[in-house]
Amino acid sequence: MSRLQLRLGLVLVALVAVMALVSVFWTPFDALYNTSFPRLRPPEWPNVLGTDRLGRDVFSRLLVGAQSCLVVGVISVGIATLLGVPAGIVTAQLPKAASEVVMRATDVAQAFPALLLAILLAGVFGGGTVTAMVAIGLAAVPQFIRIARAGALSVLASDYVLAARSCGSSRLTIARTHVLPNIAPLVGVQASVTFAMAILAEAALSYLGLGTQPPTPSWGSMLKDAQSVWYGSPLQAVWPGIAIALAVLGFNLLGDGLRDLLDPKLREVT
Amino acid sequence: MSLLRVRDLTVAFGRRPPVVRGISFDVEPGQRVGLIGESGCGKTVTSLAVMGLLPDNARISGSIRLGDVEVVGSSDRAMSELRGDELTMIFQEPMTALDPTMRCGRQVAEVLRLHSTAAPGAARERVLVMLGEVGFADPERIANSFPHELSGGQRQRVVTAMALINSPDLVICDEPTTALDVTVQATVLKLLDRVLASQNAACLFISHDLAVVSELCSDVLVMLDGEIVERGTASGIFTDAQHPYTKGLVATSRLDLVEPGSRLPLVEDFYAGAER
Repeated sequence: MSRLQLRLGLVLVALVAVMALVSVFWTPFDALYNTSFPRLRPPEWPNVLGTDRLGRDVFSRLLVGAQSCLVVGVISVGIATLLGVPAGIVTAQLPKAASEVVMRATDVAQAFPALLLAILLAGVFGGGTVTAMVAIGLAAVPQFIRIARAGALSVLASDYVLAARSCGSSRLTIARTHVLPNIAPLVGVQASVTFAMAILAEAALSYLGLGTQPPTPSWGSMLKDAQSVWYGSPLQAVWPGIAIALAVLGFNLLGDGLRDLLDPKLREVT
Repeated sequence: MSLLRVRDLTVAFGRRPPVVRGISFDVEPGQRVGLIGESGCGKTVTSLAVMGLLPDNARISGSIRLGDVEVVGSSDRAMSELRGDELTMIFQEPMTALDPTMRCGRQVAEVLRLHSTAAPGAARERVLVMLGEVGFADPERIANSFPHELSGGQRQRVVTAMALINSPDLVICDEPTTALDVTVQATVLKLLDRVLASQNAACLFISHDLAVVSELCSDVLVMLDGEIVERGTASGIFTDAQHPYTKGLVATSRLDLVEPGSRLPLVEDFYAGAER
């Protein structure tokens, strides 16, 4: 079961990645400014998924939308990992009282929704892809602190860390050579789940007009555009909706599959 | 001057009563001292205190001098310069004392790298020689193996190589053979004996097994409830034990003296307080 999940997840993630990569070099039509087609055309050749309300090719826009989805995912997960993991490892080594203070602070931070943070940041710095990425990344930092701290605590209590200390390793060396590699699987799983969350958040922000700005297509803003023509051409909302759903599903399955694969208790004997 | 000089060492955790109560002993350069006692009597706490590796909630008083360095109250940074170089420790559980994500050769090399400035190539060479010294016929393969690919005895030898690669003056062995089966135990003990002798390292050997200690050590300290109740040479303890607890230990380790068909002796036959 877990292998199937993992494979399906990988296939879906690969599909998004291929869409994004292909769109960098080639799209059937210009996704931004080519308005030469009839508006709101139903799917028919050469517009395989039809055209939007400005007469742009929906398939081309869907391909380019995969780019912003991936970029936002990678950067925001990157921000969360780079800030959260070192912070978590450091927190694990703090004295108990200080560690508790940090953890309660992350609890408070975690209670603050990513979308609200993004709206706050957008209010201060203006909406846009960068604001969205930073907001989504920052909102995910507490989860990474928790995961990294929990993992680091169990690694730090292990015999091999005691053995390393008895051989003279400093705290920094232990964090780098023992803690980091041993918590990498945990962080990997968290990253792939956060990636799915980031895609969803980016779509939501773009839908609200706080994420990717027009004319650059993103799946969220395509949904928003489709809303105004919902009664006439409902298919407009279906394509980006399916794309978001499949991408999120893909990363969630990947995360679950990875977790099952790495959890010896759940692993099937093969 | 003694290599290790412990005076009135008392260790307590939190608000609980002390687990090590005012013990004193010396280890001379090259001397092998066995520290025996039952589980929970404070053997491991004593060894961790000497290493400066006790957890933060431990309260330590007394003095531990390693050469001319006072360990009690010494900073972690100062201690980590000594650990792995002048004193090291071999742990009880070979199955968990190695990092599962790192190849064995690199783990041994890491210890070498921490205390010397050897070039990577030379370090690798030194690691392979050391792995050969602890009895591996194919050091290259062992160095490239992950811990899960090795057996318990092999891992314990890798751990031994880690502990001894910097030619320490003092090696603390915390029940290094307890987790191994009897035949592997004998091999590892012989190996320890040989390597300690070749490096002329002193050893504080912790065990609950008098037979194992007497094989390796010249002197024995008997620990009970956080105190040293008897000390003497290994042969002296066997022939002329004074404390009833020690007499019990000696009796239980000499199964060859038990008449076939009769009941095996228990420590409790000699010392009523042992069972609690």
